Parts: sequence; structure tokens; C-alpha cells
Amino acid sequence: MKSAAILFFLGGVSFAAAQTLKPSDPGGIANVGPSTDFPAPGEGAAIGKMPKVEGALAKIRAKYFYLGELTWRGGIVLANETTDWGESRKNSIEQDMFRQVSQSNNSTNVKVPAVQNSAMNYLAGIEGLLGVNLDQLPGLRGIKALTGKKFFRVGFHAYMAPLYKKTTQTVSGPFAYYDSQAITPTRTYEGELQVDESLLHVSPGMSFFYWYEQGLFDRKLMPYIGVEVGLSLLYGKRKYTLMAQPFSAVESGNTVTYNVEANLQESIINDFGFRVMPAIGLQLHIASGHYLDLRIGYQLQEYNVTLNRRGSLTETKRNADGSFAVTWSEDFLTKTQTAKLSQSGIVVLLGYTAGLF
Amino acid sequence: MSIHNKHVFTNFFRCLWAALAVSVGLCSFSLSVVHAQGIQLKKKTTKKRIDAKGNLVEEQAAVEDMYNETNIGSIAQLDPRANRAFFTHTWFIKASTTVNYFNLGSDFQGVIKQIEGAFGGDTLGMNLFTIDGKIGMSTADKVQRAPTHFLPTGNLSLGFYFGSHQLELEFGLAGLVPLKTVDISTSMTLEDRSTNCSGTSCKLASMGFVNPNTRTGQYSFQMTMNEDVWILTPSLSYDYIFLTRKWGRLSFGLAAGAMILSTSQQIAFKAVRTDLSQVEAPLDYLKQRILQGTANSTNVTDIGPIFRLHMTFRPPPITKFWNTQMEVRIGGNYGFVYLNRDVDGTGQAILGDTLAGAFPLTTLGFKSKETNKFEMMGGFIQVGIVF
Repeated sequence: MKSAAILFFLGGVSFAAAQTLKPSDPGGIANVGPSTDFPAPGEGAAIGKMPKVEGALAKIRAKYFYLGELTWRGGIVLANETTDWGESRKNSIEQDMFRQVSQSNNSTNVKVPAVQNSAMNYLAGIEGLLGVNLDQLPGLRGIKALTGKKFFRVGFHAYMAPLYKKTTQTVSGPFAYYDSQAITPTRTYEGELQVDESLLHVSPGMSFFYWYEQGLFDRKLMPYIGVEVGLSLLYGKRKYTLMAQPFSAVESGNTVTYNVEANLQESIINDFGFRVMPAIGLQLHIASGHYLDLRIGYQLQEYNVTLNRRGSLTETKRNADGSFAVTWSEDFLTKTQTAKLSQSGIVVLLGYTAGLF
Repeated sequence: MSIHNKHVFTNFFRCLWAALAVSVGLCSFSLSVVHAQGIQLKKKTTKKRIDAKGNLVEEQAAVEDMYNETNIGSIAQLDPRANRAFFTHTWFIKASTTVNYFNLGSDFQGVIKQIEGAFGGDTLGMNLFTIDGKIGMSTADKVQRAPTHFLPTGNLSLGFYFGSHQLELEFGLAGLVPLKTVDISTSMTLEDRSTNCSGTSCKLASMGFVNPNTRTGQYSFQMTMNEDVWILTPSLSYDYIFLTRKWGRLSFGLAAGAMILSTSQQIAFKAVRTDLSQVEAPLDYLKQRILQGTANSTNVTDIGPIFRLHMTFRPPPITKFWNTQMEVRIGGNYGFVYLNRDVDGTGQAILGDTLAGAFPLTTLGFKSKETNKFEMMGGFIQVGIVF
């Protein structure tokens, strides 16, 4: 099915030469009246007759652009985490939350699996597209093959994916911490370690599309193919929380209680990445200037993010009567770390388009 | 906030509301005038525009048409397009800047006061080694977050006219620029407030952080707080146009939208004891006593509603600038977001070059996870260019 669609669009591209878009039936168009507007659905034959309006911006608009429209769309991204992202999470759990790099304390603890999640993120955005009169562009005016051709749309878009909040890894205890110098060398805590991630992507960029303007079924359905190119900004955090039950031990005949508390925050502030998405789509005419738009693509969107790491692990011992006995705490040594984060994957977007001119 | 700044903000706030009140009064008066003189709306005026050849063209037009014709979607300049275009002739694009003046609300102010209070003498717990102490830190100059009562946003709007009604879809963006909201270098007094001990039996004194007699220590203190804020505000506004004259057009309206907020604060402080008695070599490497710490507070993509009431003034088109129009909007807004913040960090106590102990910020009374209500109540002024 997919290859059939690709073949169809390749066929469409080769058919571009046939899209002369010149008035092929002067009589028919003339009967419509003096209007030289971009043709509506049902008036595909009039596609070459564009308005010759006067006035500053309007003149520029009419000279260089045969069409303008605005689309609001939303959809999903189906992406897989990179190996690096999963590994960095595993390392943070093992080395910091389980103290495996500590010189004074260490813990073999439970085995941490390397998890590579498949994630679905939601996407919403806006895109403004302009149909370009290629034969009016400087440097292209003398090319006869482009005269009257109307198939190229260019514009700007901005997407944001704000709703990525999920628990990406959970490790269940018991967690054992070992210190050969302590009175109770091994403290074993029942509990759970949880990693939560929140990410916000904002992706502004440009869109370039070949649009089959003559359309199918008399411009009721217009397929297109092209690419979105731009930047992507990322803001987010990864939070590790160890929730553990107290551990009781008997030391010198007295019952003491140990508690462990560990939190680590890895925040990402305004990291940049590139985004490229080859896409195909269909625009379905509803009524007047209203359209539905379906776009499917595969986006390449990756970042080398800097994780700003803050947090600590603390164990506290209390006497049988609950009074404070002693505490020791460890700052996590690595304050910054880089990791590769990916939002590459299949994108499916459904939108509404308002034709502006 | 200095007294001077407070004074300025208070005055500004008063002026803002006074202006709004005057506008409402003026518009109420004008509304009645419009009803009484509705016929004036049909009057013709001379409209100037630049044609394709660059000539100044003067022509007759209805007064209200001047404001409904933007240069891209102008009635005069576009041909009828009944089937293709959406709301023929009557759409416009507006690029604008909004300056919001707001109060953050008591809950969020409390968070700021917690940071300010930590270095302003509040009693804090401190668990370090075998110390289960109570301390107070008082800086000579108050640790204070620089006020951010003013928040500028950049906006892009798509609007539509329906006779006297106007709808506008707006997308606003603020932030991206890091703010240094605390940057202080001053002296600090550390006070041991632990009970049931005296002299060198108090552990902070025995470790050299305070004088055993006075139970205080003098420190040089430095602190910075850097903040990053992102605010995305998609909104929908409605305006009712009640007055159209040669000198401009007035409308009032309301807007509702979402406030999508992400913030991060990075805090770092360092206090070095300065009143230790002279220690001679080779033991001077044991001398220094340092308290330092770092923390991050982050929330990502918390969403809440925002509402606005406003008055809009649009002067006549500026012919020599491609017939563009300016638009000025003034009003009040209220919105709130529950921020789900993660606060993580550690403090360190350094004794000489040989011994350092860490303590989590939770021992000082900070919560690792916290939810705070961030409110934006105040006024705004928006200036835009309509195409």
C-alpha cells in the first residue's frame, strides 16, 4: 500500500510537466466572468487564471504567490528511545541511585535492565503555505518550462509536543547498600525506584511541497509530497525517586532504624536539534475555503542533550526512641552529562485548512 | 524589591487600572453616542492608497471600510473569491508584542519567600554527620529575587471580521532568555540555634562553624539564581466594534486561552567563614570552613487557563506603510497554572582541605516535589501591526 502511494506520487512528480495550468478553455473560463481568482474545487480548468490585483502587499502577493492557506493540525509521533538514552538512564540508576561509583559505600543491588521504550508523543501545530509562481521568481523567469506552472507550495510551520510525561522505568527492591566500616554493613530496604520523564519539544521550520493542484475528482482531493525542515528546541527533565521502607537492625542490643532517601533530577534546558520530515499527504475539500488535511511522514529529530544533574542520596540512622543518631549523605559527582535523545519516528497528523486567498 | 521599585510598580499598576477605567467610561459614553448618531457610520471618507505604479490614489470609501481592509485581505485589492477563500476579504494577520504586568499570587510568592527566608534568618534544620542542629543564616544584604512583574510576549494572530464582530486566534510566546534573578555578594552570620548544649559541646562549634562563646560565625556569602522560563499562550479572542470614526476604531472584547508554562531555576550559594582565629602553617590547611550548595527546581509543560478583558483601539491605516494598520489593546487578565516542581540539590560542609560532608536540601526544609499555584493577575498592553 505504501509503495503504491509512493509510486503514485512519483507519477505525480513526473506529471508536473503536464500541469501547464494555462487556461485551456478560454471560452469556458470567460463565461464564468471577469474573476481571475484561484479556481475553486469544481473549476479546475481555470487554474491558470490568477488575479492581477494592484496595491503594495497585495501586488507582491499576487505576483509571487497563487494561493495562501493556513492549517491547524494535531497528531501523534511514534518514536523509539535511542540506546544511548536508555543506557544513560541505566547508568544513573546504577552509579548514583545505587551508589556503585561511591568510594566509601557501594551496592551491587538488583540488576537494572537496559530499557529502550517505544513512546507515543502528541503533536500540535500550525502551518502557513503559499503557492509559489515559479515563473515569477528572479532567475527563473526566463525558463519556459516553468511558465504557468503551479505546483510548488512553500511555507512556515511550528509544532509543539508538550504532553510527554510518563514513567519510563521502574525498578523494584529490595535495595541493599553496603559499607564495610558501618556497624551494620548491609542495610536492605524494600521499595521501588521510579524514573519519570517530561519533555517539551517546539519545532519551527519551513515546508516545501509538490502539490498536485489539478487534484483528483475535480480538485476534491489533492495529494502532495514534500519535506519539512527546521530546528527543534527541547526542554525537559528526568526525575529519579527512590521510595523505600525503613530498615530495622539491632546494634549493641538496641534496635535502630535506617532510612534511605534518594532523588536525582536531570534537567534539559533549551537544547537544539535538527528536524527533517519527508511526508506525503492528502487535502480534502469540504466546502468553500474549508479543507481537511492528512499528512503522514517519518521525522528525523535527534538531540545531543546536556543533562544538568542535581540530587543526593542520604541514609539516616535513628535510635529506638526515634531520636537522631547519625546521617551520611552523598552528592552525585557528575553534574553534567550528555546523551542522545531521539524523537525520530512515524508522524501522523490530521488538520483543518482555511484557504486565505 | 527596593522601596523605589515598589513605588514605581504601585504607581504603574494604579495608572494601568485608571487608564482602563477611563477607557471603559469613554467607551460607554461613546456607545450611546454611536446609537444616537448611527447614521455617521455610513458617511463616506477619502481613502488614500498606493497603487501598483506607486501613485497615490484618493478614492471615496465608507468610513468603516478603512478598518476592514488590510493590505493582504483587502476588499479593494482582492478580487471576489467566493469558493476558494475562507471568509472572503475579511481576514487579517497581526504581529504584536504584549507587556503583561502581573502579581504572581500568594502561593508562588510563598515559594520565593521560602528561599529568601532561608537566608533571612529563618530557623532551618541541619543534619550533618552526628549533628542534628538548628541554624539560622542572616545575610547583611537581603537575598531577594529580582521582581518579574513585567512579562513581554511576542504574538502572531490570525483574525476574521464579521461586520461589527472580530475573532482572533493568537499564539503568544515568552521566554527563552535566561534571567539572573538573584546575584548577591555580601556577608552572612551563621547562628547555631540548637538547644541542650553550650560552648564546644555544641557540635557546630566543635567543628569550627561557629564561635563557641557567641555561637555565631561570620561568613562571606555569594549566591546566584538563574531562571529559564517558557510560556506558550494559544488563545481565542472576541471583539465587538462599537465605534468607527476617521480618527480610529474602538472595540471591546474578551479572550480565553491556555497558559503552558515551563520553568527552571538553578541556585548556587557559597559561604566562607571569615572570623576564624589565625592558624599558622603547617596547620592552616585545616582552617577553612565552607558551607555551599546547589539546587535545581524544574517544572515542564504545566497547563492552566488564562482570561482577558480588553479595549482595542485601531487608528486609521498608515498609507505610506503599505496601508498597514496599528492596533493598541489594553486590558486586564487573570490566569493560573499549578506548577509541579521537582526541587533537588545538596549542601556541603567543608572542614579544611580534608573533610567534607553533604546534606540534602530536604534537611533545610525544602520539599523534593512540590505543587504551587502560579497566578497571573494584572493588566496588559498590546501593540501590534495588522497586515
